[in-house]
Amino acid sequence: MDLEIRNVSYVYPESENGALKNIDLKVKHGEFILLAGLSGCGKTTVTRILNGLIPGFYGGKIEGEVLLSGHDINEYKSYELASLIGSVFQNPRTQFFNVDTDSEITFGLENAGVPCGEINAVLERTTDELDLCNLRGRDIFKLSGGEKQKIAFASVYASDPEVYLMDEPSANLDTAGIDELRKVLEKIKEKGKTVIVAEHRLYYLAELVDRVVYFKDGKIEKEMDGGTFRSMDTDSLNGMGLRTNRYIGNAALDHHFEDAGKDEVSICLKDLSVDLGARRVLRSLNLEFKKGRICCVTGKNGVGKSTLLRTLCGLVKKSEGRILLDGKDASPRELKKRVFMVMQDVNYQLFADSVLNECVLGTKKRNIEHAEKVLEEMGLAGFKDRHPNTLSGGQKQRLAIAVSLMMDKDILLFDEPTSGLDHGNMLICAGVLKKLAAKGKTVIVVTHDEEFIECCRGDIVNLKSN
Amino acid sequence: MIKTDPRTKVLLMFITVLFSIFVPTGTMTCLWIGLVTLFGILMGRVKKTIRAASVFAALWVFALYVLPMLHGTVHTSLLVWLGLVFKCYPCCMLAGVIIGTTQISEFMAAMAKWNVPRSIVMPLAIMFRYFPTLKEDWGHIRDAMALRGISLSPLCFVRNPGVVIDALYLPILVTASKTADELSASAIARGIENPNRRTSRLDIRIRFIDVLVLIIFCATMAAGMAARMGGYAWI
Repeated sequence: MDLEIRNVSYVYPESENGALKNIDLKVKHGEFILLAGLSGCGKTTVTRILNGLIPGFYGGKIEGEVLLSGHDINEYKSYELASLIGSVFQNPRTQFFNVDTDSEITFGLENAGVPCGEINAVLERTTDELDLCNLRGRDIFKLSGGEKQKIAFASVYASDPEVYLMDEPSANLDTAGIDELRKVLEKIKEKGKTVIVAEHRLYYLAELVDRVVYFKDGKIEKEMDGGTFRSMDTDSLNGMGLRTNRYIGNAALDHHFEDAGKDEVSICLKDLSVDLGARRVLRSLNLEFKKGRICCVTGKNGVGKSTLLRTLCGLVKKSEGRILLDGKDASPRELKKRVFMVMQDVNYQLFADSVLNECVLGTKKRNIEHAEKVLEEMGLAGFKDRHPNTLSGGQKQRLAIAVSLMMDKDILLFDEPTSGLDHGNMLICAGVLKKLAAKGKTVIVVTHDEEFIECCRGDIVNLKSN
Repeated sequence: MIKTDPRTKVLLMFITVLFSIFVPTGTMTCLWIGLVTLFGILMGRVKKTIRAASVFAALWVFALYVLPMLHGTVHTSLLVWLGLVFKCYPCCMLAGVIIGTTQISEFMAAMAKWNVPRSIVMPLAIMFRYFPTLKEDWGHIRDAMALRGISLSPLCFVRNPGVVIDALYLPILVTASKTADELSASAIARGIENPNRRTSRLDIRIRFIDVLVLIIFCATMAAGMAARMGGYAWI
């Protein structure tokens, strides 16, 4: 099925972000297209126009024509589009309608009214072909991010659409998860399906793309074929605000960047074990984190990285071993006082009505001057009267850091700070982390993002499963 | 272990509501709780059902043996409260069993067989889907509050009620509306608006076991009503 976008312009009803201006794009049947560009450049908007969510769901006025196999897209009903164009969204948590994996995979077929026997045959075939037998009949809420994304993909695959649309499918995946995603994409490409991916992380797509469409400020700035894209070096990609097209192996990173012998240890774990329910998640862990340094904790999904962070914050009690703060045993209470965590979804952490109030809330002395200084340091000075909710993802993150500085916390933890950030915001994030370390804070980052680790130039701890 | 049609479960819920309305609290209530417990266990929800039944038993024993020893305001308010709890308990307990043992897709397909309009089924289905999400969100929000030195303890609330409420409701509101939006977008992009009759991968049919369960519940209900009309005051 050929797709064609002719001179399309679009503005969201309530936001300037992601608007499109005079877009022309032709996609031939079986092509593999990468939509690249900074956050808010309009690449997600293109995917929403193609699956009919614009204007059907998001509203707004769309100008120009969108053609599917020569027919205007408006002639198709939402469910007819659903059978032709399959969409995998960014956040696997909120694209599930069901609570168990089997029903989720067959959701599209059930909507279409396919008979029971056929649905089960397709379910068997899908889980077989995608190698998902171990995820059958599971509770979706107990799956890891990578496993959820696999189910999301399987549910689209089961409906066998002609076109696959994906919006940042790798945002919540670790290296192994991304590798599996790449294999699956290879498979559908071989089957001759059309694939359109909007993505920030590019390396895993480099070998697959036939064409790269680069967006800037709602316009197509540049189109290049796969060969040209593959031959580009990292510097020229970074110059366009894009991430690297090459894989930075963990092996290359697996060392301490500089000798840190003289730095003072702020937090030290001795034979630390943590149980969640009946399961021992962390077993006899021995680690040191030093003042004024960034430590990147890596490891596969489900290895206990989040549990480690939550234990360090004092949110989870240790089962055995010792946690030493400046050489003294620390209780969860003391940890809570000294340690702050910036969560992966910062929306949970922000609740005041303005950026400035967010900073002074809960601090003992409502010190506005100090707050303004901290906000300036985080590059948020111009936003102090804005509602936190109107900030971008990267800005929200920096606001949460500002809060931690206001509370005088000296050990800062970050859970996947770069998921969904473009190259520019990733650099800003790395810059802020370095600044915090230079102030003498202990910075501990859990991340899958090798490119980001390289930017931080910190120590690396690879957590292995027990 | 048995498996019943979602339609049977809806009917059971209906019968239990009627029971609560027409049959006064008494021995029959205990019998009904016993019936719901048996049903829950047979449906495979063992632990939670037994826990709920034990709580009921404890309250019942309290009402029978401890309550008469109390006097004054304490006695009256506990009496009223317990009366209300005993009235609602069968319905709430059965609802727990039903929600815990029914898959969303199964429920939607069964309602489609009854020709219930989508405008009624959809919100119900989304509600089912939202409970576990809320539980997850709740955990994150509690963590976030603890990091800011805010806890849900009564002491903290008395000191700073405004902050506690803000810290709770804003994140819940923001994440809930975001979740709802993304969930709807995903459902539409996957063809939920298709007017064809929904099917299910599970074979949904009224079987012998469904009829049997319904007969048992109806018979118990009828026995209760008859005994009451026959003037057996002890029931």
